[in-house]
Amino acid sequence: MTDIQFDYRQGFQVYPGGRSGPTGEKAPYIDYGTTPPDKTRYYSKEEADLEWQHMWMKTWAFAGLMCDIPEVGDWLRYNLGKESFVIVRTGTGPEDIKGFYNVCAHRGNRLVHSDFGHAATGCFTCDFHGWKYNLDGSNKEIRDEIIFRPETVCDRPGMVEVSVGVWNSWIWLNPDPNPRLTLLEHLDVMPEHLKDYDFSRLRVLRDLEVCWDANWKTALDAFIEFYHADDVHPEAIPVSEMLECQYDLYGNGLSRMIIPIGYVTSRFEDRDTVNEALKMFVQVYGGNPDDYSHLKGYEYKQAMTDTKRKWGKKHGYDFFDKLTDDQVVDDWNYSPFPNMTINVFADSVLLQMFRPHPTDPSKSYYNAITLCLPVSDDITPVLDPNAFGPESFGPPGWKGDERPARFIPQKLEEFGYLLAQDARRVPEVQLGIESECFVGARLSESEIRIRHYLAEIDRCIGRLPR
Amino acid sequence: MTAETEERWADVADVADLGPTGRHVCELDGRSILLCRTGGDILAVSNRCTHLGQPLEKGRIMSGRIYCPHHSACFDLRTGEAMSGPAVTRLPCYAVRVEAGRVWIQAQ
Repeated sequence: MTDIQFDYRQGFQVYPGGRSGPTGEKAPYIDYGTTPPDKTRYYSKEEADLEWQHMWMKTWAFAGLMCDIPEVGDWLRYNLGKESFVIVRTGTGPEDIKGFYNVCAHRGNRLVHSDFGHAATGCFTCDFHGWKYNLDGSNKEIRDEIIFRPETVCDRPGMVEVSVGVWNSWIWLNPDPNPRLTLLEHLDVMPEHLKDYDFSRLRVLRDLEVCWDANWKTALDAFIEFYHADDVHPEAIPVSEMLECQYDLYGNGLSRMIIPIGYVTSRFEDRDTVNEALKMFVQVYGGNPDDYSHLKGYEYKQAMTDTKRKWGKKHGYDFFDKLTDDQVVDDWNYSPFPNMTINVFADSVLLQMFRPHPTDPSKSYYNAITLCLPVSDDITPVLDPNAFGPESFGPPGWKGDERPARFIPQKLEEFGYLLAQDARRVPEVQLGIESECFVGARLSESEIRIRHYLAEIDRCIGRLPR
Repeated sequence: MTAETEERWADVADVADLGPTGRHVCELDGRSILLCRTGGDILAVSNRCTHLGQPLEKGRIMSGRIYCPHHSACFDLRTGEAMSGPAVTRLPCYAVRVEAGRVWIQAQ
């Protein structure tokens, strides 16, 4: 490995000279010091309660996809901790949705009991005593109302509304009906950075959810740094940067890491030879490695860029023309506060959400949604970003018409190879964090995103000033 | 199809009847049956939710499941299993054959 200089205040800047435009620029450094974070944050009930009261109930969090509620009356359920919400499409506009607590005002029954559905009768009907609610949440009918004393129901009890917002066809929910920030304010620079992507064209390839034995932050921490990649994802070493990734910190707890892909990195002494994994990467997108035999290993990204741009044109994705070469190939991983990571590739996106357990801070819910751009023909395989090598070839001619059900993986391999590699470790880390011997994480500067969102939690709780 | 098997199978609809919605309601022996296309197959289930007997035909179909539009009971279209929601009883399913553009279901 060649000698690499590192100044923690500068970090690694993956696009020297601003070659990927202002959105690819390195963000200013924030010095969070070197003290290990308090490990009890990752398992104490008191901390979980503070997070719940001061953060979860007052913060925007990703809740679902507009493509899952295409028709008026379609709804989806979003569970967060001990609460459950229902988001319903109320009109034909791109943002015509409303969100409510999934609770009947009569006796507290859940109004919906599955992940998706459709209110074909134009209302929600409670299956306990038949109370009905319109799609705007207002009370439509109290069955046998004559048996109620008027003062019991004179306020016409309806569904309790929460704040919902849509950005680029993705839905966020904030339980606070009067949030401190609008959704766009909360997302800080991310909408500007990703304005040239059309996420409405993505379709769900896989949607899994699991309850695992780890605090939501323990799990999140595993996915907002790439320092782990050499050991956890060794298959990626031939095709991906491991060390020289760029880590950026933004407002409202937002952060990003950029993982450059598609060339022989500084992990190798011989950076001239093009390895077989890189050639396969080109082939997977329909390219011919022979066309790029003139390129050295360290410059092979040009082959990937060229191949993926041709892929985009072939399948009708004009928005590729607006993306920089780096955006076409690299992984731009955003983490909107508090609990989400978004691996943005030109042709696919991996959404990961880390949600608190209702009662046990040493457990949490992990939801991973893989989204891909459909292909235009019947023979091109869709590329599964959760797999390596030949196994990344998905179904040929995939159009994404049949939305797969959200499933609970029963075996590790059902996560997809890449995520299974991470999933294996997460519960193990939780056990170690709770050990008497552990004094707290000694974080590198490549793990600074961890400090960044923890500081934002502190601002929510009031431990740090805004 | 032989005369003997015709006694056990009933011609209930044309494939074209499923139309753009991918579903069609037909009757067999006085029972309302819902035909629906999912995952490239045509499936047949009772059109009555086992919760309160409400019609399922306008329910959302996703990923091989149907969601009752009334109280969100969810059934697997291939097995009839009540997956979630207030229904606890399996939804009756019917074997389906498609021949020469016609949909046949097996009378129970």
